[in-house]
Amino acid sequence: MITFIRTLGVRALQIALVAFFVTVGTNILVRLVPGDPAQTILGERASPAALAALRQELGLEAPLLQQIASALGKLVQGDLGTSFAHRGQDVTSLIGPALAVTGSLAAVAILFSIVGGVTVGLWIALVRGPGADLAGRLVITVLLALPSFMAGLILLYALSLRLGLAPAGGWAGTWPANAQYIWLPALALAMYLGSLIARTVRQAALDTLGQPFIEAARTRGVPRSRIVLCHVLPNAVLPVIPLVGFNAGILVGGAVTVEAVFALPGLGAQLLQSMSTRDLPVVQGIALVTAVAIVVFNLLADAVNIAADPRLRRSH
Amino acid sequence: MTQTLLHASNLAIEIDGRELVSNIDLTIDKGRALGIVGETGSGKSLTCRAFSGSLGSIGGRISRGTLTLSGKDLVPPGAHAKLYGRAVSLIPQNSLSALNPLMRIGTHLTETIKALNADDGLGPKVRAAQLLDRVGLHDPERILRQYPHQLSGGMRQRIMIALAIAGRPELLIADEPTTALDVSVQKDIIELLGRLTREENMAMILVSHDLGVVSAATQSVAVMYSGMIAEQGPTNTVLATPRHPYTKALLAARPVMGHVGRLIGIPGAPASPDAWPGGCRFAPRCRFAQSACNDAVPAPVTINEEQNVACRRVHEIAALDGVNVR
Amino acid sequence: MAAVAELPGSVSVRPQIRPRRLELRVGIGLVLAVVLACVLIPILNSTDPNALVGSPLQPPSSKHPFGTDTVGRDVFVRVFHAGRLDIVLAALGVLVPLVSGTVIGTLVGASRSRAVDAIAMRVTDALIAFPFTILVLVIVLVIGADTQIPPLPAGAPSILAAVWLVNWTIYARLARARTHVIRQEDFVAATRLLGFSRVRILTRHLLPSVWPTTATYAVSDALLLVSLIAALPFLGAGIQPPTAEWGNIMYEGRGVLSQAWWISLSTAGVVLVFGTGVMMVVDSLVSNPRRARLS
Repeated sequence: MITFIRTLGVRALQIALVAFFVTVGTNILVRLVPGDPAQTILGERASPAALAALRQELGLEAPLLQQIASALGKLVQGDLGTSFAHRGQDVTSLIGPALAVTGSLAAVAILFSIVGGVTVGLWIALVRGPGADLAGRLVITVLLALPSFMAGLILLYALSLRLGLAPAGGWAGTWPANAQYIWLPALALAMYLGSLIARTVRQAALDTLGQPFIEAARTRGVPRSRIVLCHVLPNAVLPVIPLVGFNAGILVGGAVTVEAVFALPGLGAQLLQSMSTRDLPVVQGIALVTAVAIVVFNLLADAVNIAADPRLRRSH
Repeated sequence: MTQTLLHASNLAIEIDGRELVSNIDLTIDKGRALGIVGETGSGKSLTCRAFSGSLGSIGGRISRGTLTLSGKDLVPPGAHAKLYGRAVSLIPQNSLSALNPLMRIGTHLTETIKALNADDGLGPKVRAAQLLDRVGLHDPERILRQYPHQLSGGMRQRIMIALAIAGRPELLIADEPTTALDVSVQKDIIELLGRLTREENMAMILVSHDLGVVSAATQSVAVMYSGMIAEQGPTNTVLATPRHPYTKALLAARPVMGHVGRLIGIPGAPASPDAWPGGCRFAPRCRFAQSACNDAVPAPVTINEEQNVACRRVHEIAALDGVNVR
Repeated sequence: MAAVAELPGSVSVRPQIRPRRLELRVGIGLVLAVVLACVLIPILNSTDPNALVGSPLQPPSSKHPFGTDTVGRDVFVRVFHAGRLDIVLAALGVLVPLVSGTVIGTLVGASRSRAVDAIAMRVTDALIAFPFTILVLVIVLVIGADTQIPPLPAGAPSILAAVWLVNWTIYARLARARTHVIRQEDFVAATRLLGFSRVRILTRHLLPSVWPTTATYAVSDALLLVSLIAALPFLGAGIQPPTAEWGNIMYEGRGVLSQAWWISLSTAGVVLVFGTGVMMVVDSLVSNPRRARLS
């Protein structure tokens, strides 16, 4: 329990730091870089008066420190600011639904990765024909080199456009109808993480097989099937949890790009739109939200890890 | 009438084509305890592995000779398959690494009991608690719930013993059972092993580099050097009147209370297997060595019908002690 | 990339570079093949990548091995011109963080002040967990996606600036960890006893042992950067057409994927060959699997 509270504290600190840095950082950057957000919003032909009014409205006239302080203050209250492009609408209500979509995509992708990766990794380690091992390692290498959005393009073409196994993008808006739209992009996203998991599980399984306690169990008379199931499997699967946590950042980055390929109304689409309208508060908001989500996710991974590995708990 | 349980004749063990143990002739009778003594590299652990069927995982195999357990041939790989835990059982050297860190002690015990069908009709959990009690662990209920890293070395060793006797094996092989333990705990473990083997009428092979442990726990002993048996015989006899130069030097090197002056060691060091001489392997370090010792591996000579000594000069050396031996 | 793919424990304590020979050679071969193609094809084939050479959306033929794109440009020529841009950008994007991160990390690792170390750890920890892609987008937006510094095309400077700002942290982290290990070594203590100046210890003794670790990571980082740059057009940033860039070619191809698969997929193929080669090089330089037998 103590370990868990300590981890909780560390993660909370991380969240605070990240939020701080992103907010302060972007505010400073905006000030440092030549260019006028008001100009970009209103366009080339805006009148000086309109520009000045907008700058006032957006709070760009205030001194830097005051801007930062106000941004941080709002942040603590959970207010992510107001969108530049959709005037008057606050960022939170814009991001919320998109976050739900991206979140479900990521969740399904993680599920696919773990199930697929563990199965393949164990299979390669335990079947152990040199052919299977080599082929498996080759496939894993290729998949690790494949960026998520490219995996998305390839799968979209092969499974959806050619074989018609899935719709070519889009979203239903309600569950369970969304399921048919989510599985292919989730599969594309799972290629990378799944390969990483497979490789790690394979290595962990091989390492475990070489451990003295495996041999000791065999000489005690424990049958091979039980050794594989109850001794090798838990030890081989253990590194998967922190691995997933560590790759949460990459996963989110990938999710965002895969969404763009499959036209899912998630954060990716949101970004696409906000980038073209130069809507800084929304982009900044998305950055903050995803950062916090990742740290929270890491915290969950820590918790699961502590629960699963008895060596991590303080001994009685 | 004692019955022969394990019989090894002219046994040789090789790993990856290199012969590391040669010409092993050993016999263990039912209910008797044999000690195997030697330094690191003497081949005692490999011999141990050959007996317990653990050569495969280090890439070793029996390359020559015969090995039988109650008449069953143990030479082919996989011969031990049905015997693990039932006829032959091994207590490994390091108790911490021999236990799965993610698994409770209770699970280790119950899975072994179930695998060997050894619950005596009581149910695995009850039998597990019973076993812990037999090896002298009190409060078995609490221990069953614990994880390996939460227990002391002595307790873990007792658990390894409990696991090894769960299936009531005929032969128990203990590989350096006391090496990793405190001196005070060593005595208890040795007494426990002695008691259990008597009560269950189990034969035991005790491998150790500690002469004191072997003298307390065994009736016969084999002294190994560089992959061969230098001398074997009744424990008391061998330790009191060693006949092989190596055994003599080993015993002379033991520090004695109240001794003043330099400690005597054995000059030199055992050669690596690649550099083993063609003749007697101890010759380079032996103070009785002659040139003829290097010609051939000495065949064991029987002394007084009970001691086997692999030395061509055993009679002459004994004469130097002022003793006449036949 | 401001994230580490493997577990922290796999940052090797002693980077024994024992390459798995065949894998290394195949990997280098693949990478060289693509690099050479990107160098030579634009020279040998004088077609302008932005020129209209035929009717749009033609399938691959002997005249146009990768077909034509949405407006009628030759995809084959475009892909290899694009390769030059992507590879150069990735190299530039890796080099600056590699150098700055390694130096900073080594300094932090060599410092005996616990405060410095603690602060540095927290800062880098916070930044590393971050979704790199999104952070880059923020910075690109702030800096302005249209800024141009010749000869780099529009959009490139802001991408590079964003990457340089964020990416050094992982190198600093690796360098710090490695420095911590090395400074325990006897030879470092010896230099201190001999009275070497701190600068000298740093440059002649610490850094040379730290470079292999960070340089190895730099290779895989280059691959991650190529992926990032290519993904940006899908997120509304990135190098804008008509400049040929792997990502924007695939993005344009996405719209016509069902009719003209060759646009996106041939580009993807080339990127994949390149990426697999890099991945093989990285793998062969890192760990060695241990085998065991359950017999």
